[in-house]
Amino acid sequence: MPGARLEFRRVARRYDGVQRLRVDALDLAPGSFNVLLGRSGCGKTSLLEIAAGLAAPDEGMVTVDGRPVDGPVPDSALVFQHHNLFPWMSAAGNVAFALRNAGVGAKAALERAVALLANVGLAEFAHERPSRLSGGMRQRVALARTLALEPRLLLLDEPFSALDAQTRRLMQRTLLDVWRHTGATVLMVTHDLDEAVLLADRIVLMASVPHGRVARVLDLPFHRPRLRDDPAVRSVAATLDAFLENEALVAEHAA
Amino acid sequence: MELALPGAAAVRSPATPSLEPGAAAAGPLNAVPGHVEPGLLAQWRGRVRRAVAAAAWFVLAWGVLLGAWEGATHAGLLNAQILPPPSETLPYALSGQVRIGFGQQRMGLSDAVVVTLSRVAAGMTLGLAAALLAAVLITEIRLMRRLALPIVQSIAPIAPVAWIPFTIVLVGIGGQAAVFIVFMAVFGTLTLSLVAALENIPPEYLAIARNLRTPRARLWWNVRLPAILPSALTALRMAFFGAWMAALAGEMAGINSGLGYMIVMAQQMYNMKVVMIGILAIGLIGFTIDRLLLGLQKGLSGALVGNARDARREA
Repeated sequence: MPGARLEFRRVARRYDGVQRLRVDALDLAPGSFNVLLGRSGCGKTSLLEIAAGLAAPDEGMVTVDGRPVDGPVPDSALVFQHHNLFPWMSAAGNVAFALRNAGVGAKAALERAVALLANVGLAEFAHERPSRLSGGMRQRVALARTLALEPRLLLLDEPFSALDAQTRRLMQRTLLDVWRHTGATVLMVTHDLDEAVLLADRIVLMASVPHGRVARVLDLPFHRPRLRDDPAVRSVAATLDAFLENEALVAEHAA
Repeated sequence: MELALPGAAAVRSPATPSLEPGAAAAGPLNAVPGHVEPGLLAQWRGRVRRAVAAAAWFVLAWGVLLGAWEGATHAGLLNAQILPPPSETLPYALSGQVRIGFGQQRMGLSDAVVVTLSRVAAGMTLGLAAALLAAVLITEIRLMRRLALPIVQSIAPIAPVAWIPFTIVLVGIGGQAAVFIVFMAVFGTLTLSLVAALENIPPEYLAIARNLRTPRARLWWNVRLPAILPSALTALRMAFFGAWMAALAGEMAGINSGLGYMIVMAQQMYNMKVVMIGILAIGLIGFTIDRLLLGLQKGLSGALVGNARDARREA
């Protein structure tokens, strides 16, 4: 199944009557890997929640394949930084829970869950509780669950921020594999510049002053796997770095 | 819906070796579950040693107190009529012959304990069931939250003893009155604790459940209730104290059976040995049940989350 086309149109969010986020137009192509990059407080997560249909914008709308989003988006999958897994279920139980909701029988769901966990290298740990797994393993279970759902839209909110650098790199590779095999459109929130340049087809740079907004959109036509020492990648990283530093100064000044 | 995933087969194939490092991460770099760490036995031994030490101190503390009491009585510092020394009280308590009252109202210690405990159990079971129902309705239905929550919030702080006169007029002085008082003692606080626990469920759990379009019944049964179980058990443990006090107070204030009534009757007959035994029984039973509930809390939370250590830390 091809990825979904996601379009934001004049989306605005207010808190206590003050406009805090405004995105006039942002289009994500089917099957593309998009990263929302910006400092905390620029509305990245709000935008992701709106895209997921978990929060409604105060103005404007988001459409998935032209259909306005007015509730949890079908064929989408979420991965957060923490609490992706229900700690009272085993790893396989968590994946099976998603399949059961989709109407798969109990026994078939569990078998399928174990197979999906094997895909992300967790065959031996299928029946362990999340508390017995490392942070990276937990995020891999969450990715295995997204494989189970065959999502057309994969929404990730800083999924690897809590992991150490080595594990993060492994997880980024696993994510690229999941993305390739599902063909889903990815929208990922991060404040990690390296992560953005190594993964994204398109980086949406967000600014927080005077309110959350899209400041720039950068397309990264480099093939993968990317190396951070690649001159082209480094030049994009330098641009982003300069932008984020300037953003920090502007935000500090405004405050 | 057909969920067989063509991509999944490809992920497994050697054509995508990039998954391999991911698999390797499950190896020596990470903590390996199921594998007994060398420190585990030592940890367990340490825990046993701490438990034994705690028990020894418990016995020692009581030994010192009772010894001082006994000594003070013999030294003539305490009036044995009012505060009978442990050498008189304890053998009597253990003889199984503790009885008080006349005729129909004559009762023994064990009967009194059974009566009081069954009232507490009945009141708490009803209270928990009603609180759970109320918490579910308050969470699910906005109108219920607006209408019922203020009432529960005002009822919760009412001291259980304040219900006694009202209850006796309403229900009489029988066993149901005690059950009702226990119910009133636990219902309000339990409801508020459960509502708070439901509100404190990490939003990610609910977002993921919504995103997975979890049917409502499954959301409650598989997500919300397991998520609040540890805090519900803590709330239940706290509620037990209130329930235990409420039942005894009710029995002292007119309900004519049970442990509380036994103490009042003994006081009226100036049988201070039975009064002391009754007080000690209240303490001992309360302590034991609290420990049992703590054990249940640890055990269940540990079983749910798969890591008893987390539950223990919370307790």
